[in-house]
Amino acid sequence: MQVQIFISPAGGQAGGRQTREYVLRKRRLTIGRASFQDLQLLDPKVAPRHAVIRPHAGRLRIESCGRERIRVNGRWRTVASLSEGDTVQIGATTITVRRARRNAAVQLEVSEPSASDEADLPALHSLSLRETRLSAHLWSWLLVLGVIAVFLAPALFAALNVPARPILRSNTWVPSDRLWESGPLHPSHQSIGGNCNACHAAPFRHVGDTQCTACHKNVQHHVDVRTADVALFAQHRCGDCHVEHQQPSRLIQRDSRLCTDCHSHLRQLKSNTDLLDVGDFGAHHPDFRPTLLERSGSSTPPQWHTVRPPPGVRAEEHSNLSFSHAEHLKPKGIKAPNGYEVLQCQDCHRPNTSGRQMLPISMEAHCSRCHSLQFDEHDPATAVAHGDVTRVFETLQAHFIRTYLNSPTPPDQRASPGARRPGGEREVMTRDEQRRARDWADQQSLLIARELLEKRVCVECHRITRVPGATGFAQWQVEPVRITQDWMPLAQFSHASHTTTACTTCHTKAAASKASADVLMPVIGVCRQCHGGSADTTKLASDCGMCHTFHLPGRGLFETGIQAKRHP
Amino acid sequence: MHASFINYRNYRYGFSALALCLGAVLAYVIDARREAQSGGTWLGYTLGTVAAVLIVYLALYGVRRRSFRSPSGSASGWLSAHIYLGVATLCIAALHCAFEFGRNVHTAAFVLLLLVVVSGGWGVYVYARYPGLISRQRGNLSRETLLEQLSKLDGRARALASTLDNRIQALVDHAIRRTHLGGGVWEQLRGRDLSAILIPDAGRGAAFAQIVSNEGQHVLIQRLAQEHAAAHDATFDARLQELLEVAGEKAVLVGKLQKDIQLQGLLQFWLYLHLPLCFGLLAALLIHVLAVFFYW
Repeated sequence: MQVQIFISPAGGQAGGRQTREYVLRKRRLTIGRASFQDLQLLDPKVAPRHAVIRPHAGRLRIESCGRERIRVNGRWRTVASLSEGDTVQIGATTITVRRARRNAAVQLEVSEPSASDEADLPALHSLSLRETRLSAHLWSWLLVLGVIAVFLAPALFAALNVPARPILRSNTWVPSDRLWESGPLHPSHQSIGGNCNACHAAPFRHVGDTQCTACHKNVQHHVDVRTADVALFAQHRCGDCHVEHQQPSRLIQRDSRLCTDCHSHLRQLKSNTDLLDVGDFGAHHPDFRPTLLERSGSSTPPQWHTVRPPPGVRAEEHSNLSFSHAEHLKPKGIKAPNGYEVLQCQDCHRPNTSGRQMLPISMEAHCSRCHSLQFDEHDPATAVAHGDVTRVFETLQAHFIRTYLNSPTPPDQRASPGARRPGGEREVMTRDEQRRARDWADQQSLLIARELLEKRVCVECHRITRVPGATGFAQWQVEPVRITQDWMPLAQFSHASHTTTACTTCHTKAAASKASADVLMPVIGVCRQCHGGSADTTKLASDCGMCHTFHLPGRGLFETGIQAKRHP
Repeated sequence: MHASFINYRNYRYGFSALALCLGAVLAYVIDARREAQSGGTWLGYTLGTVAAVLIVYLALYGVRRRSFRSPSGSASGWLSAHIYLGVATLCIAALHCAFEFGRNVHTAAFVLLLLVVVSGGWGVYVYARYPGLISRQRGNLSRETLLEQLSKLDGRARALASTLDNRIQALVDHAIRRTHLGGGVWEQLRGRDLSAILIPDAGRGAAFAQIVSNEGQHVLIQRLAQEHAAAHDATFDARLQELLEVAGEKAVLVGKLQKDIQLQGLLQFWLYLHLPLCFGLLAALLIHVLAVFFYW
């Protein structure tokens, strides 16, 4: 496009200006105040880039740059086709199209305002940012509205509009109240999905315990739910200890204060407790008090209950067994069927599959290889059964009756030569002969029984008592045996986590213990060699939760406790 | 640093802010040894409240600086407190959230706070550095004076050119008309001389014109120099010489003005980020608090 421009001052040669004229060959003619515009109009009302004239569909067309105002033939336009004779008014300048024919130079006559003050530099040039389109107000509003549009409006909509929730929340890229989530859900809670309201039932209210027990139905309470102790938990929520949306995700707060808030002064809260006050493990934990089994009365079968010796009283186990760890752990070994044998702790003590407790010790599995129950050392067939005294007597009686019957001469008549075994020539024993045989067998059995029970075999390990006034076999009683299995039922200890240390590292007195009354549980000082308080940096920092749990078995459903809180 | 807002009353607010930060860090370290920290612990709530109060207080600086007759302390003191407490707020907010970040409104609020503090830090830098630079650059003259000098030079150039032939007159006129100062945001901040000049397009024929860059008035000077080399008349030559000197002076002056506009622009530009970000932060902060207690 070739454009011929005639510029003349409006109203003739006013102000000493002359008519200027130049020809440009451009694809489009730019009009504006800026220095590089093809037609430069020095008018504060004209934008730096105001308009463009270019051929369009065989005609000439003027287009506004952005929202600048152009007046074509007296009418405000942003786009207009131009023909010969049309006038365009931009600011105070009038442009007349003199020629707009195809294949010929376009001629524009520009009538400059006479008052054009080229010397007023501040008016013609934007000299500061304030004069530009930059606007702190505009950007502030845009940002505030943007923040509301992304983080508030859709979130509130999802929070309050039940039908819209799943649609909004399920899409990762659609803003919803998931943008209010402070951290990810714990992996075990992922199955809840994005349903915030599964736990957050009401706005501006803490997540309630009932939201937890809706799924965790079997969770047990800390105290017996049938007692008034439940009231001590009236001010506490599941969420006090179980905090969700944490990074990194951890559902159980490992903070000893959660326990010691009550347990540091439990007696003030619950006067009838036998628990001692506890602080931090490092310095304010009482010494261990192993729980022991005690027989309740003398009923048969025996009943047992657990007791915990009061503080300061030495614990003694009354298992009715006599066992010397020292004897069995002698460094030179202990006499065994094949000579002396050195025993290790693990020859008898084996952890159960959880690694928490030890499997029970049994005569058959652990003792019988050395401790033979034969009453005749030379006859292996003369072993009595273990665990049932009546069967012992039956075995003895049967043995001696067999001996009586099998001997050619009745053993009770050996003193008189020529006497013959009854029935030697007859098929049937007389009643008198039968009585004599039984009496002899009973007499022999009682002799052996006394030896076994009171002198040699049973008494080595068991406590045998005489029943006052009783005679015969009924006079002996082997006191029932009960070995404590769970010495510290309120604490969790895993042998499996401690297998790299020797047993005697913790059970220090085992090798020297001669009596079975000795309780060989480690004292707290042994644990403290490695375990420190919850903030200890020189040892393994140990909080309450390392050994203790809040929800204790057998205390009753937590849900029952919540109901009791509500309806005391 | 000569800026009084930095060392106001011997760094009074600097030390206060430092003490505040150290106190918060100490509390955090002590508490973190006992329990895992997050915004939801007691310390988290406390630090969050402190940070929120600080943000509102810092935002009120915008109100304070508009009321010059405020009885509450000197403007310099307020600015000093604004700067140091702003940095402290960022530290406290980071401890408040226990450095837990995610794709949520809470982190959005923190990021906005970070951007506000960073843009403010830029403001501190430019206010400490640029005012001295600007006045040195202008030779301790005001911009108005420089603009007046420019108008006078243009007047002189026109007067001189009017005594010479039409060609030179047109050349000078076009150079003056198309002298560039300031411009849009980018043009101001970039500070490049976008002056142009309309000259005959020799390649297309005498009637054609072209618009070319006249950065540093070099095209004008070059053309005048050519005329000067071809001149034989002593009067003509002397006037051309004077015109050349005027053009040279103008080139220096336009460069100065352009640099001045650029520095002033840079001096102010950070505020166009700081203010909107501040309002965005206030909005995000309110939503953050609402969200925390809505889903408590």
